[in-house]
Amino acid sequence: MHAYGIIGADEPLTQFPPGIADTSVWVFGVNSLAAIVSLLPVEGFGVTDWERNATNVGWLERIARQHHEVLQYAAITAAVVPLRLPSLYGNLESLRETLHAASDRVERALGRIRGRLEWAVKVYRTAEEQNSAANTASTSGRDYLLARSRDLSARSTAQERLREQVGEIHDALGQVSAEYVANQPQDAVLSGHREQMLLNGAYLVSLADQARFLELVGEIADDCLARGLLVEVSGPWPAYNFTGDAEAATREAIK
Amino acid sequence: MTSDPGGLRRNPASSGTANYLQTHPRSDSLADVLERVLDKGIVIVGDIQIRLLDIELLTIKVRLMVASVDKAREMGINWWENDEFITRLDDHGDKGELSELGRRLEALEGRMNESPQVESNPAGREEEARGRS
Repeated sequence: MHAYGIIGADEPLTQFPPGIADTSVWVFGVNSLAAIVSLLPVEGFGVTDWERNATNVGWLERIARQHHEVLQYAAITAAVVPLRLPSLYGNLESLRETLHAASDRVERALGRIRGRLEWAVKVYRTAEEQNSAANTASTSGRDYLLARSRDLSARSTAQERLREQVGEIHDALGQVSAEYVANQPQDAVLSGHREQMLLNGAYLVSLADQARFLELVGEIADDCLARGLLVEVSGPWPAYNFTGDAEAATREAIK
Repeated sequence: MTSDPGGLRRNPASSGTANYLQTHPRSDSLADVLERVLDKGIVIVGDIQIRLLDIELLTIKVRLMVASVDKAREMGINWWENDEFITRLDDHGDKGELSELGRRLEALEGRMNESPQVESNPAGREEEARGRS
């Protein structure tokens, strides 16, 4: 059995989209909480299958997206604590024990994220750096070294300035958010962008502030264009980045 | 401050949610989804590997991602946590450190495959960790 996430038991959720391996998704209530679960086929979804398919990108993508779709659906109407993929439980009893043990921290997280959703804002650098040392038709090693050292110090100043700008953007968006966090920027191979990612921010924004948040993102994006920075926004997401403690509580309960 | 409940109905997977700022049409890239549904910490490890080694990039990345950070730490693999070191690699592309990372990666891969023959790195710390895992 796979658990997708945890919601309050009183959330009126029905008709989930298909879960992993197109299984039916339902909720399993324990006291005031309910886990969103589906029964995975025995064939192909045992622990060894997960391990074996760890290198199978197609397999992993399909499952990650189905996991996410279920949570996305739930997040439209309910506060939901997403669980990490995979969250496998051998039977309902172990799931019940987990929910019971983690209930305090899950309740707290649900209270924090209720009426709020996560938005992702990324900032990329579009302008290329100049490298004069490499371009210098160096007459001597000394010239090259001088040019190289100039390059390095110019670059570190520019890096410093960029870091500041990005920090300001992140904090400005944070002002309209209940909570916010900057994640490690994604590598170009992973992000699929050629441009270097400078900010990989996540913002927990209340529904009431959503329009204001997006408006601010728009203003920042306009402002950034002239500075060689590109802004990208996506969302709303379930509050993946703001439920880590509750999610951890479900894993600690297993031990 | 108007809320826009209509906007919330739209799934990021489908087009149309506030993507007027985006130059790239898909708001939920695989990277975004994986970053959220898998263990975030280990993605960092993968990123570094990808940046440094151009062999089997995605394979390595995904293999690393499904291992938990705790597991990696248990195995004595926590070098990605040292930001300064990574920054230095990034800026100067030091070949010596690169190949050292390559050796560590091989060892890590070997362990994840649970194949006993991979032991090209003699780092005592990792030997010790292997005994534990």
